[in-house]
Amino acid sequence: MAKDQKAFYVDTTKCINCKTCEIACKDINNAALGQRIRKVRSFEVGEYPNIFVYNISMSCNHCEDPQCVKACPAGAYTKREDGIVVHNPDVCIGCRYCTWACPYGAPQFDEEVGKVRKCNMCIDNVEEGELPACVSACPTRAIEVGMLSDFENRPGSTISIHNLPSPNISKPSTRYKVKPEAMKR
Amino acid sequence: MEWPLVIFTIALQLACGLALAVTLIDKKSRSVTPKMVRILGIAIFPLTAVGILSSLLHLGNPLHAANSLRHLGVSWLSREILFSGIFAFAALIYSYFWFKERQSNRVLLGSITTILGFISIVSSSMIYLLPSQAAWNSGWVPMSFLGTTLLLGAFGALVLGNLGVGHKSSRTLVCLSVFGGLALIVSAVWMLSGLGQVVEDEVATQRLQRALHLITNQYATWFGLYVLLACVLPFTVMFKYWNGTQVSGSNEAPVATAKGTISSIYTMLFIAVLIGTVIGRALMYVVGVGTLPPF
Repeated sequence: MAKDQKAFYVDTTKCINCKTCEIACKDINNAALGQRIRKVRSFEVGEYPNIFVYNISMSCNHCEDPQCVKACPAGAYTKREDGIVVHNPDVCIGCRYCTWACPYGAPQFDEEVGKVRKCNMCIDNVEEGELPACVSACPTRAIEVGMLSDFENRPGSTISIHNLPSPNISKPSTRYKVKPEAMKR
Repeated sequence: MEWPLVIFTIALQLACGLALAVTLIDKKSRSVTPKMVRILGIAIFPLTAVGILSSLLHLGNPLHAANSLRHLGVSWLSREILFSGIFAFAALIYSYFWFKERQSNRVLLGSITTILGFISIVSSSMIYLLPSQAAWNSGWVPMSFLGTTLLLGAFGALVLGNLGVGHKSSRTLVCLSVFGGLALIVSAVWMLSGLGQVVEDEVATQRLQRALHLITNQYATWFGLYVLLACVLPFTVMFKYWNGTQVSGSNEAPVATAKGTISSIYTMLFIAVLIGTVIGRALMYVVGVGTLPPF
């Protein structure tokens, strides 16, 4: 694991499912039709009268143990020193093996181009001291970018969430604040 | 459906199995190998080539296919492509030896080709052992791949090669076919026992239950056909062989045709088993990537 790494923090208790983050992400990445490099999923759980809803805005989790990096035969993925997992489309052969290996469905295949795309944490913006598009666009300031060590120490910070894959597979670096009902004990 | 990958895996497994069977026949019969066995020996390379060309159709960017060898240290897919390429090269030489009817060192070359084929198939099966694909992530996938290789190769050589019960290598091929068929049955039961399970990972549980639902409802007929054609049918034929009767159930000589002695019933039997293994492989993709959550 990188000693510390850049990561997203999503306060899902602030998320209103407006999907502005998705649209900003699609816009800056010029994503293909149907490609959701960041996606907001809404989970409706429980039984009447104890029902509740939570929204999870998720892109690539820039995992500590990224399965896409291990799987890719072309070496198109790199885990950088700062922990960001970047994908190089120039060497991508479009085999889609990364889409099988990632538990979160982060790499997505673009049929038109014949290659995979995924969140690079708007690396050009971040290197110039700006924010990723999703972070800038969120009207409720639910998404932040920063260092994992800071986010881990926040009260309620978790990645063990109901209806998400086990974090043991790839050790995601994104941290979430969720309603108590959504958190796995 | 991942048809290019279905064709790729089945074609390479058939080619490797034939290399094994033809080498065994060659070793035991030497200069008196039946005419059809020579044709099977020649067919090994074209089958491999068809498989590899088919795999290119799976790629979104086939012109950059050479990039797939850039990550040999870590990626099993990279290794599979390397080993498949080496196997194809060995198969080319081996098939050429059969074409030219060169007997010197042919058994040695066949043995090397077979070993390279098995390395390629094992590395191919390792691709599917992904922690994020709970339905695949166990030993049934390698067992299915190896079982298919033995079944298609030995059974194919036996029935297409028109080997009579008295042939020196018949019993060995029957044993290999039975072993391959048993491996397929065990792998099918193993797969079913894993589907529908409740595991610690909630998403994996949902996907396993979805896979079980697909196999027992939407794809139940196909699963039944797979069991019937790839698992049951070869055993009935093997049983007849073991009892000392011809595949067709009589002791009649194979039907003579203009091109040789290909018996139509033998060919149909083999095609039925081949279709069964294709269905089984397609179902493997259904229970795996066919249950990806709707991201």
